[in-house]
Amino acid sequence: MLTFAEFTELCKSLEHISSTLEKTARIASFIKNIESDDDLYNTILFLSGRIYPEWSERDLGVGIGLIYEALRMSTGVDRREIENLVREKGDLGLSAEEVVRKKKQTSLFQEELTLKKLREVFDEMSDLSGEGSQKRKTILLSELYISCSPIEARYLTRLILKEMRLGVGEGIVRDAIARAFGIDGEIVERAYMVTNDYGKVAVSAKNGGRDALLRLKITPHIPVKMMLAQVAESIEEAVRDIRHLGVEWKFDGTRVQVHYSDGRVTIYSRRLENVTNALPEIVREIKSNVKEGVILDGEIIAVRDGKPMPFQHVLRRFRRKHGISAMVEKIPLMVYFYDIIYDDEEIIDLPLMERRKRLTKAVREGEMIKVAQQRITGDPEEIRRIFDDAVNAGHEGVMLKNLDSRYIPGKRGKNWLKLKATMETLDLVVVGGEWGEGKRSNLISSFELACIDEYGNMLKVGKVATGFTDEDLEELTELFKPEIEAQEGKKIIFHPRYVFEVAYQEIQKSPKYESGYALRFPRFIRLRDDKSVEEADTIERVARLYEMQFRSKKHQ
Amino acid sequence: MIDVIMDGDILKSITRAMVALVSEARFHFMDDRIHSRAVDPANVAMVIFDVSRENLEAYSIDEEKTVGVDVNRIYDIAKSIKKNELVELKVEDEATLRVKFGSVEYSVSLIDPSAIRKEPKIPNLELPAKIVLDAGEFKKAIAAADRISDHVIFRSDSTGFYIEAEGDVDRIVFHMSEADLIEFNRAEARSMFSIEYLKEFIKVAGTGDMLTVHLGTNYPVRLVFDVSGGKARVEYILAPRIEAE
Repeated sequence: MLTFAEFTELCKSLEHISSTLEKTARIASFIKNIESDDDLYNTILFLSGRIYPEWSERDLGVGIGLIYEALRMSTGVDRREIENLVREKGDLGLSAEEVVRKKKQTSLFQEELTLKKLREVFDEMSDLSGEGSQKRKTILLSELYISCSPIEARYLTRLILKEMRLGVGEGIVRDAIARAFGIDGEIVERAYMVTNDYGKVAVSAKNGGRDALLRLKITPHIPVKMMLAQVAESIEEAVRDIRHLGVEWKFDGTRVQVHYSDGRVTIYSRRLENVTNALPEIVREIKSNVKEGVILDGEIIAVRDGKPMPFQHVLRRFRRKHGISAMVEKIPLMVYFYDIIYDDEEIIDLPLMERRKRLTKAVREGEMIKVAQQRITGDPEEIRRIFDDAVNAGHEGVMLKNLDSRYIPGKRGKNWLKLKATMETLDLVVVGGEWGEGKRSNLISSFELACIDEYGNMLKVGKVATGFTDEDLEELTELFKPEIEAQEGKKIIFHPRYVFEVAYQEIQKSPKYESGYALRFPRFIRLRDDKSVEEADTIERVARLYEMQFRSKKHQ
Repeated sequence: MIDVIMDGDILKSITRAMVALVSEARFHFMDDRIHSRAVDPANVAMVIFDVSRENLEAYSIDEEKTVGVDVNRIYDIAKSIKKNELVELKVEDEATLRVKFGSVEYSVSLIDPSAIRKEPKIPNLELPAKIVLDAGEFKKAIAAADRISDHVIFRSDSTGFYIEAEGDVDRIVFHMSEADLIEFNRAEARSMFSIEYLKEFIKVAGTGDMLTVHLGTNYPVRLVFDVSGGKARVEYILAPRIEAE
């Protein structure tokens, strides 16, 4: 049985290795020697900072406050002192490690932690709900901390926060599984794209090798990673590169994947969260207008008086857990479908043109349900006209799609290109903030932003305090309160969890921030609730945008 | 079916003993005694009580049985029992504990024992020093130490038993020589403990109750109280604190 100590030993060594190849090799040799399926499954998930596959509805429901309380119970060190450490170290994991090291009180019993034990406790925690559940979770977590060595406390804390900081991305996990079990990386990746669970992929690879992975197929009600689009350099280039071009509007909405099978509808967001319950009217419409046994890809938009409302409103609907029926009235939605990936069987290998035929057959258009219009054309003038129409109708621009292409889950490729009207914005992680003054003193009124590097480190690039309405600030304050890791005066450190899209006038070089760059006049555009922290913009992109503005200035 | 009649003070003592560490506990009604033990959520301390059958006024059980008890609730009820009053405990179905004394009868819901944290085994400890003293004296020392510090050192050598606490400016030494102690084996030992726990433990005993301390060096301590006129035995095991270098 794999102990947590062995696992943390691996984590510790990975944290110190910078070479991707070496990381891959280390993980591969570690997982190759794991005997039990469960230990293998847990290792793969935990390494990626996941307790459940990303689409699973199970969640520990453990916030920062609960971690502080569990640490206090198990070590006697109170929140204030831990907050001081967080300010000093900038990481709750390192702070927990220090707290456990400083522990003055010994305990009567100490159990050696195993991955199996962690899994049992996590399952128990995620099953708890209702009255007394927070208290019970605190006790369960504090029992884990009691049995932790300092270094184990570091990684336990990070695991609970779903952020291991090991620089182990999906690519490394894929290559490590491929290497450990001698299977082609592409086959491993395909298996992941259709199951969305590298733990399951690793266990299949271990037991059945390549053939077992090839047998993994798309299954209704298990989400599939969505195919993504690249930014088109220009219409001319797109027309030149793609022989059979289909042009669609790019809607200002949010991506959904709709599964309808066995009498049941499940809707997943772009991050593959199950948002079915927030969208009762869409579920109803699908049941009466769509053929059963399909998985559809599309965009949900909010509409009022026939006009699209900003995409923020759709996200507001997604977040809703209570009072859903009132929101159905307030923010009416409709959905545009543009692809189909399952039609009684997996059909991602059919060309888009064929898939569209299946799509139009499977969907009967109604008030709330549409099939996105597609125009087959290679004429730049006509594409420009469609682009203008889309923008005038309040949407973002157009999608240019290769009609001969397969549906490749999770890939950002040249087969789908997007052409947007708006300027380049940045999607940045919110890592800190500040309480406001005067009548805004109970609101968090400015936010510190960071881009990420390849190891998932947060590098600050500036602060945004404009572009918010009072209503935005109220909503954001509520949203961010549970993410507060430490406070000093008005300053706040957040657990990195949310992404803001911001506009700015210019990117400047700056010694003030660890990224080496600063945004001039940043302005809040919206909360990118559909993006995870790992999907935020990287330091490389900031650097590239910096260079680009330099070039364009020279031209003037 | 369980039917017990006991001195009301026993019920008060044993529930008081448990609430120092937990709010729920499993009570085992065994052939020869009533037994319970529990560990606090941080695994720092354990409480154990035993009331043997001879010290009960009446004891009848169909078979050995374990019930889950909300000890806070029962302690609350037991507080109103008058001195020398007898109390009857009855469990007829799985769901209810009836507590009867004077002219009142309380019906309290039982807790599913499987929902209560399973109690660990009693650790087997080799502790060299044995000190027996009046619990009242011990109580005074802990109360005094509590005013200046959050931890105390228990120390024993051939010259006696010491309880020492150090505050920012003050220092307290409580010393009992062999002559002041009821029983003493003069062994050497020294460990540090949290007052937060000790001050909860001492609430179970009063002057005239006997306390046996089993002490080691940087090792857990066993505090065994004979309470309710010697009719109940309450033991606490407390893990030490680490002394800063």
